[in-house]
Amino acid sequence: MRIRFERTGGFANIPLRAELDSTEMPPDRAQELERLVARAGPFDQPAQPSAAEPTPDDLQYEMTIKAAGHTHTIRTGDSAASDDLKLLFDFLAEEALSKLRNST
Amino acid sequence: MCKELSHSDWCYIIPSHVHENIARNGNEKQKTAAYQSLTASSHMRGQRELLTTFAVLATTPTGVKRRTIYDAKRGLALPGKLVRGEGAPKSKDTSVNEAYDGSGKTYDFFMKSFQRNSIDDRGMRLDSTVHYRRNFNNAFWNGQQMVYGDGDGQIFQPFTKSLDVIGHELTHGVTQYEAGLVYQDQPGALNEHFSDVFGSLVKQFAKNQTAKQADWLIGAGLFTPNIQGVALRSMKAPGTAYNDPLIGKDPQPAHMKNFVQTTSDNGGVHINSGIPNKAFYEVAIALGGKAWDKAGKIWYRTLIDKVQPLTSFAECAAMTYEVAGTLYGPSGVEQKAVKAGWAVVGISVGAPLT
Repeated sequence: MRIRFERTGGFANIPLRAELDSTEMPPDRAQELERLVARAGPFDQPAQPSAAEPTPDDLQYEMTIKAAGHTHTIRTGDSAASDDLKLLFDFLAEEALSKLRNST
Repeated sequence: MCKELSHSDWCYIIPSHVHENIARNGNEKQKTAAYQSLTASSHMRGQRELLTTFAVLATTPTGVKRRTIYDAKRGLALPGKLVRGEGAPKSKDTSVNEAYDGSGKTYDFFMKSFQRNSIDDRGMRLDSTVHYRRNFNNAFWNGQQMVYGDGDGQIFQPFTKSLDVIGHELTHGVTQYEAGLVYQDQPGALNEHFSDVFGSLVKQFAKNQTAKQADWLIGAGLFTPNIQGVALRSMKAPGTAYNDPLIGKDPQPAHMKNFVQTTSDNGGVHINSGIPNKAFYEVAIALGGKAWDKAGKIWYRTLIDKVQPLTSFAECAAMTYEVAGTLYGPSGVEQKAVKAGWAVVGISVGAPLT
């Protein structure tokens, strides 16, 4: 599974971007990612979950996920995302940061 | 049952928020009636959770600080578990006390500087949730309450550490109730700007600092020692707050010629706010003394009386110029300082400088 992950906005507005590949992760992390993706069901989520008024200082996400021949992109504010999607975003942010730290 | 308004059978067509306002702000008789009505209508609608809220509202005096701190216990549910109410003793948890003290100082600032009674100017309770999610690098206002993450310990420390962050979030509430600035593009950057202005002023007020003594930083002390930076933003010198190999460089412009066109961050609301931030700093320094006395007052009255949901930078500048004239007289030092402050960032207001 490959995921392009981007987080911007929030009070701090420090962008975080990374290309992640589950085959490059330690087995326990790859398993955790599979579990979180299965729960969040990103392929069933609309590209833009909500047209509601933006929440001040809300984190903004753009995620493109490629798995089993499918590609799907989601753009959403944190507050409008489902709880399971939030947990997936938190995991991806951790992975993205650790990948970034290893490359700097 | 709606022919007359007796205590027992208030018309249920009256929206519950009106009752809630009365329960919050009315005299004792009105409060009792409103509370009874809310009780009855809540029973009818089966909204049991409302009853607890209104029971508290109806018995709490208005015009005073009312703070409530919740603990999300690193989970997703808001508001979480109630851990400290108004007047309750200190918690053992630093974040709880920081949120409590910070929202109190913000309430005091708005009350003493502008006679504003809380976020809605009607004594609204200040609710904050700490320990939201795991390693969460953010603080935000969700339309009803403040929410603070603990930071990831690598880039950020807990977001309650910085008083101006707390003032910033609460000011989003004030803006929501007053100007209603849309959180996108220039109006969104102004929304951010007003939060930075009053966030910084809350800190200056608490420290009793003059404009010259203040650091004009937003989020000082939030970074861990790993990060090369003093804060998230600098109103005095936008674009200079941090420059670090891991997180990059502070992207804020300080002049219209460097205005950033972007689709991310709701159209750069946290980026282009550097421009009006710098203008405010210039005005505050020019007027001297405590920044909330004159510059802050001009900006506050502008936010309350003038700013509209889609106000642009240039329109906002013109509004502050007009308000300075109204408050302190046309062509006074105040109005001249406002004009000169906006000129520094490339926005002209009023007649040409002579």
